[in-house]
Amino acid sequence: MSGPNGRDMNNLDGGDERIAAMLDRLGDAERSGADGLEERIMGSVARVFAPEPLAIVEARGAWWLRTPVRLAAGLAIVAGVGIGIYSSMPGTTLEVAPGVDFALVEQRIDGLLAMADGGDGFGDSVASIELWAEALDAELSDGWLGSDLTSGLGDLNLGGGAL
Amino acid sequence: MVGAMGVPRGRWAVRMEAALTTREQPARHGDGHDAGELASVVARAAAGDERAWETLVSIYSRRVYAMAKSRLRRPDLAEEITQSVFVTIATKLRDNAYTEQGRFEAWLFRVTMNRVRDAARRMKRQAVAMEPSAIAAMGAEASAAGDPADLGALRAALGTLGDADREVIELRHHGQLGFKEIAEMLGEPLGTVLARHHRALRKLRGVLERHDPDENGKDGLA
Repeated sequence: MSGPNGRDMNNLDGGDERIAAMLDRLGDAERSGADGLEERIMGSVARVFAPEPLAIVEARGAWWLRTPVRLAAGLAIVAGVGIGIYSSMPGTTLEVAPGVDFALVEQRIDGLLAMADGGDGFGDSVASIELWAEALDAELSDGWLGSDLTSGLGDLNLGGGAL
Repeated sequence: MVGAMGVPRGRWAVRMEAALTTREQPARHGDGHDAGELASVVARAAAGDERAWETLVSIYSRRVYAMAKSRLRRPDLAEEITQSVFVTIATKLRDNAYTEQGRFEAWLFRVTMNRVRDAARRMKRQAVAMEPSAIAAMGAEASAAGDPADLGALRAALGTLGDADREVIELRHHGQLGFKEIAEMLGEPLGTVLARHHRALRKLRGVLERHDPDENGKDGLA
């Protein structure tokens, strides 16, 4: 028997050929049924080639983009909460913004200098204030340099409240 | 027609139905089909060409399905495997991961065989040894379902074959591959594949004769 699939390559006797023919019929039976199979497969294949929804693309890319931002935000929150807890502890006198006080002092000095420039007799007063400010500046600098920063923030009292 | 895969599903389905009635269909390997034509279809399929996929699905889906159904005896699982085979093929083609140029058919059926083997392995725990009475019962069941009883008995008799022999039978008669393609796919000499096929036929014949000697005598199988 010579078949389209090369059956003639296998030299079969009558009985074997009958089994082979039955197997062909069985193959036909197995290939039948499952109505709509092709359409469902085409649907699956189409999904493979469909462009990804923009939201998925953005979400996938954004993870890498946003990771450092998330990390920074997390650190900031942790630091904020830590400072808040620390500052709420009894006996804590944390002054972490001496620069603000300096700014106020400078602002006041500038204001006084402006008045002195107006020639209304405040020159001596301004000079004495400038001396006082310089002395204060030196004192604060010594305080910073002299403080033991490794001893903990609780030991860090710059006396800024006196300003 | 690159990018046609992205069109809405409903319209797509309608177009597919129309295309299936007028599809281009290269002949199968066993029929001496033009390998260059198949390579062209595969190349277009890799680019997302809808009609190329219709062609591939129309040629191969039922053959893949038949192989899975024959081994697993569960149409739902057979369809699931068929779907997964095509999704794998599509994904690999899309990602340019198909490196067996000119051997698409062997590749597709190798993927199929691996999926079927895995599923069969999972089901093996529930497998029941095929006794002659079970073969007769399956024949009667198949007959009741509309299949000729002899096909039901043959289907059951396939369960008595070893995996290697059964694969050759299923690739040949369910997958409709030529012996040369089977040999290429399995990586074995053609003579080995032919001998295995012959041995499997003999064994099936013997099982069916034991199952129903009267009918086999009448049909000249004895």
